[in-house]
Parts: sequence; structure tokens; C-alpha cells
Amino acid sequence: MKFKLAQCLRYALQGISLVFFVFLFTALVYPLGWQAEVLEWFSRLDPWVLISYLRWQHSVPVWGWLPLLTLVVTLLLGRVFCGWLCPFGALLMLVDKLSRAVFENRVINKIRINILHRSQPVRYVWFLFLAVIFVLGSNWVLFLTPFALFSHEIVRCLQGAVPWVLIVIIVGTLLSSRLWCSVLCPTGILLSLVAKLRLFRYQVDGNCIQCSKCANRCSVDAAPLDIGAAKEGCLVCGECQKVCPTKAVHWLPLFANSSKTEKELAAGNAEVQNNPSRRQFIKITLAVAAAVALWKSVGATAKNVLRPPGALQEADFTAVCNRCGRCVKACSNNALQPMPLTYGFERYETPYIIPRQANCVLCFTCQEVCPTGAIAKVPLEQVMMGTAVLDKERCIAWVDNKQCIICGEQCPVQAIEGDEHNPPMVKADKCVGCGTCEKVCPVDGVAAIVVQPK
Amino acid sequence: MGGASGDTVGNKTKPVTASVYDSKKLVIAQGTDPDSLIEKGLSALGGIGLLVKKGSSVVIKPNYSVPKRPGADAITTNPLLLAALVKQCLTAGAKEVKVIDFPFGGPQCLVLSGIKDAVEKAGGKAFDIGKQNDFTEVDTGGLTLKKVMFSKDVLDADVFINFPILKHHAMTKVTMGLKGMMGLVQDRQYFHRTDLHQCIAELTAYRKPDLIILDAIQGITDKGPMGPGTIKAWNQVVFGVDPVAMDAYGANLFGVKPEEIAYITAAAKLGVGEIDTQKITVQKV
Repeated sequence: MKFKLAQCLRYALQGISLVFFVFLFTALVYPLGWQAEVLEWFSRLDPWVLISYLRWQHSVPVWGWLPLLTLVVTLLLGRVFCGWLCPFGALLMLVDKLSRAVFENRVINKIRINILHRSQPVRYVWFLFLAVIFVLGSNWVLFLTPFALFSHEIVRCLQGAVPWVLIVIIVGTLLSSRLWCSVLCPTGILLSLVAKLRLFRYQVDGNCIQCSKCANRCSVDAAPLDIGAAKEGCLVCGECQKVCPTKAVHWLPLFANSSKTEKELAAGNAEVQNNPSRRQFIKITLAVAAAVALWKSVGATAKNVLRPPGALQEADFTAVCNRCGRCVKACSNNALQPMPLTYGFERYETPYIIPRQANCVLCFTCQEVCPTGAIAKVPLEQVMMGTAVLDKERCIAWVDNKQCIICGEQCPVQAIEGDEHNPPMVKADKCVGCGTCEKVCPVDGVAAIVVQPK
Repeated sequence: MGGASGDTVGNKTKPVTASVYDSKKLVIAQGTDPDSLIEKGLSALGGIGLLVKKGSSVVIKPNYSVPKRPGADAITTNPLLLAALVKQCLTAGAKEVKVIDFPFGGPQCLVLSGIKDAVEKAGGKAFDIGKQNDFTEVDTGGLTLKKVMFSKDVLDADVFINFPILKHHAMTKVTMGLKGMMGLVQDRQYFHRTDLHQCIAELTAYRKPDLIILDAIQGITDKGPMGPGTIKAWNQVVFGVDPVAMDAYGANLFGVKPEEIAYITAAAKLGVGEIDTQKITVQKV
């Protein structure tokens, strides 16, 4: 009865989380409503957002308590964030349930459990790899966290693009259950690490008949079968308790084990945790080497591009932006676009502007929706995206004496002087580099006035 | 329907325009209260009911082309005047009232101007045009502006009212109704590439508004059209149907001779209207 209630509550929370999260994105348009702020706060549940913030800001933000709360809850109860709240986790739970219902086949089930079980050791090597590239200044780690990754894929769907990453992860989930949540998700691994110390966990008593039903059911290979208590990856879903034919699984504080002694339990834990072997050492070394090599090969800087108003300096920007795509979705003039791979892996999917196609209208919606601070909240007076440069040899007012000062007419900061008698002149000190002039210049092809990014 | 829009189906036909109001007359409503300015101006013309019949669709084209940021006033049509006009049209029986412009600065212009809020509260619809689908190619019959992608909303409307603000413009000295017609076409760059003033004149010759109302309560007299600029209050709203006479009156009010504004003289030459305000009856209310 108690279990049923908990399960209903969990499904309700996961359902609300998933539906609400997607809904928040559809509402991410100018002028922003309450949804933008809710989305920002929701995203801050992830401790990685705080870690990333601390790396470049060196001060604790006012919202710092929220990710800390997630950590404290994890210390007490384990990965309830992943199992009960995460919208991406909710989606993958749904996919996994579907897969298990459709392929109710012993062979497929065995393959699924096998892949999941065998990939477990990869988890901390992968985590080390991510940690190294994170410290080296790459933010791909943050991209892989659920709020960024799921955001990015939802935005792609809403923009009519194919959400490749989402498709790959869903197919992976069909074949190997919640492998993503247990082995690959940076937030999942981080919380797993913390959950090693958690107070409450599922534990088995002496009635266990080693039937393996819990292990077969567990979507993250954390069932309490082998060592008497659920492993750190446990999502607190309670499925093990539900399937146990002898009611041997209990949700208890660490030192209230019903059958196995504390000593046995501790020994079991120790066995898993402290197993320094040469193979592991080699793996770890390889991970670090690969991370460094990868970083070096993609860290090459390319030519400057026009970034959103308030964007940090280029190196910081690519290091802080998590590619969630929210600015791209919310941009009121559809000026922000995700950068293609041709600009290099390190800048891939970061937002940029091609002013000739669509200029920034300085509405600052992007600043409002940026969850990482990569687009800082700076007022118009401090915006410095670039500077417009006029090509007098191509400008029709200079060359052909045309009655044209459309660049000056539409310049939002009056940085272009001129009138019917005087052709346009750029006042560089006033120009913010929004690209309006470049967009509206009536000259065919390349504009006669072009913004040089800062 | 009540308006004099004529046959606008297809892209070959030039809309026929014959006004329901006296084209030789301008009404000047003086004061600052938006509701009473609209009310007394319209009734001096003969009432909105002459133009807006029951069940007709109305399109109003204000000027909200620039983003009205804090500290930048008198650069977009007064939202309260617009709301008062929307209410008058609805009371006269209009089935819908659309308020449209093609702003420079994206969707923020409509919001920051206060027009979206005011118009929607009054029961009208306010939205930006600018997408390919908002325009259709028309044959203007002009020499410079032969073909142009023009607003479908205006072409489909029974009544088209132009509702500019009087303010400074760096290129043309002053902008009002004639210049404001550029907010109804997709490719404004073409105007600048060819002959700005001639294109403006030919555009209005193609589709004269059924009524023009000029917001001259206050406007900027420099740094236009973007502002912020020096604000001057004239405390009046002008009503009329002759696009040239309206702009000629506005130019005089602004302090520029109409003959010095090239698009006004170009429009007068095309026979769009009367540039000599001496030949126009001006009724102050």
C-alpha cells in the first residue's frame, strides 16, 4: 500500500516534470512570461550548473542553495533527483518501460541486462575523462547534463531540425535500459558518487532466495542482490522491492540492516569501491591522455564571429555556454543560430549571428533565458558585440549619390550620421555591433557596411 | 463595403479610390485627451459610420517601426489614440480591426510602444507583418516602383486607415503618412536603391488610404526616426483623406515648407493630392 502510493507519486512527479519542461520551451518567446524564470530555476537543480558557475565566477550565486539542496537530498536518500524529478530521466524511464513491455522476451531482456551490467565499469573512467576536459576549459560536460541536452534537443524539434542526439539516446535506451542515466550522464555520475555515502538504501534480508528478479528489473544495474544493498546508481524507484517474491527488500537507513551484519555490508561496499588494479590504472591514464589529446586537437581558434549581446569574451564564452539552445529559441528576430561544425568542435552549437541574414534587435531576451551566464545581463550602454565598418567604394550614397541612409535610419543607437545631403559615416564609439546596418544595406550581395566582431 | 477600396483582387488591378469624406477638407482636433481628440475629429468629418459599415474589416497602419526604449518618447503613434479609434470602428460595427506595421526592430517594437496592449484591450488585433506570406506582388502602375510586394491585409481590408506620427527623419526631413506607407511593403531597400521619393509617391498613388489620421500631439524634431530626440508638442490630431494635403499641412506644422520635401512634391506631381494648403478647408475643433 505504502509502495503503491510512492509509485503513484513518482510517476506523477515524473509526468509533470516531463510535460511541464516541454511546455516551458513552447512558451520561450518574446515577450517572456513567468515560464522563462521557472525554467531557469528548474535547471538550477543540477549541481553541474553551480560547478560551472563557480569555475568562472569565483563567487557563490544567490541560487546556490538549490543545487546544494540536490546534493544534500542525494546524501540522505540517493538519486531521487534522477529517478523522480529529472525530465530527461522521466522520458528515458518511459522509453525503457515501453521497450520492456514490447520486447517481453527472455533473450532480449538478457542482452539488455548484460550490456547494462558490463558497461558499469566505464562510468568512472568516463567521468574522469569529462572532468579533465572540463578543467581544461571545455563545456561539453555541461552539454551532456540533462537540462542542457534535453533543452537542446527540444529546441531542435521546435525549429524543425532532427534531434540526432535524442534519437541515439532513445535507441540506446531501447536496447540497454537506462544506460545513459547510469553510466554516461555527467549529473547521474556525479550524484552516484555522492550517493555512495547515502543514508537510506534498499537492503535485502535473510529471506532472499537469489532469484535475480530485482537485478533483471533494475534499469540502472544497481539492484541490492550481490552485496546486500542497492548500489550507488540506485534511482530509488522501488522496482526491486515490488518484484521481490519473498518481500526481502527493504528501504532502510544504512545501519539498520535486517539480516546481513554491518560488517558484511561494509565489506561488500569496500569490495566494490576499493579495487585498485593495474587495469583500472591503465584505463584511467588512457582517459586522461585521450582527454588532453582531444582538447588540443579541437582547441584551435578560428576567426571571430558575432556573438549575442552581453556574451563573455570568446574563450570564456565557449567555456561557459552549455549549448542548451534556449537563446536560439527565444531570439525575437531569429538572429541567433547554432554554429555549424565547420567552425570547430569546441564552438559547435554555440549561438552566433549572421547579420546579413538577421540582425540583433537588442531586445536582450537571450540574456534573460541564458542559464549559465555565458550571455551576461548587461544593459544596452555596455553592449559591445563589434563595430560596423563602411565601405565607401560600394556604398550607393557615396558612389552613386543615392538618397540612401537606411543604415542610419535603422541604427538603434544612432551610431551612423548622415542625411539627405551627407552620406553615412559610422561613429565607432557609439556602435554596438548589432548588425542592423549590415542587414538592411540595399547593396546587392555583401553589404557596403559590415560588422567586424570584437 | 463602406470603404472605397475598390477591386483589389489579383495583382493587375489598381484599386479605385473615391472618398466618402470631403477630400478638400482637413479637420484639426486640438487638445491632449486621446478619446475626445478622436471623437471630435471623426464627428467633424461626418462620423466614422460613413466609412466603417457593419461587418466590414478595418486595417489601421500606425508607425511603430522603431523600438521605444525607456527615455525615447514621441517616436511611435500614440497607443491611446489608436485604442480610441479601434473602439470607434468596433462601435460602428466593424467585424474586425487589425493594427499592423512592419517594424525595424522585430517584435519588441509593438510591445515597447504600448500599442499591442492598448489595441488588444480596445478589442482589436495588433501584429507585425514582415514574413514572405504577409505580402503579395502588385502592379503599382508606377514608373520607378513598377511591381512591389504589398501587404495582403491592406489589400483584403474593406477600410484602410493610415495613422502616422509627425516626427523628424534624417533622410526626408520629416515623416508622416506618405513616408509611412513604406511600412506596408516588404523590400524597402529597393526604394533607396532606386529613387526613394518617387517610389513613396507611386506607392501612395497605388493605394490611397480611405482615411488618414496624423498624430501630432507630440513628436521628435531631431534624431529621427530612431530617437531619442528633442520633443515638441503640437497638441493636435489631423484628419483627412488627401495624402498630399495631409503631409503638406504636417510639414508646415513641423516647420518645413512642403515644397522642400521631395516625396510630397513627387506625389503632388503624380496627382495624388493637393500640395497647396490654401486650397484646402481647414476646420479646427
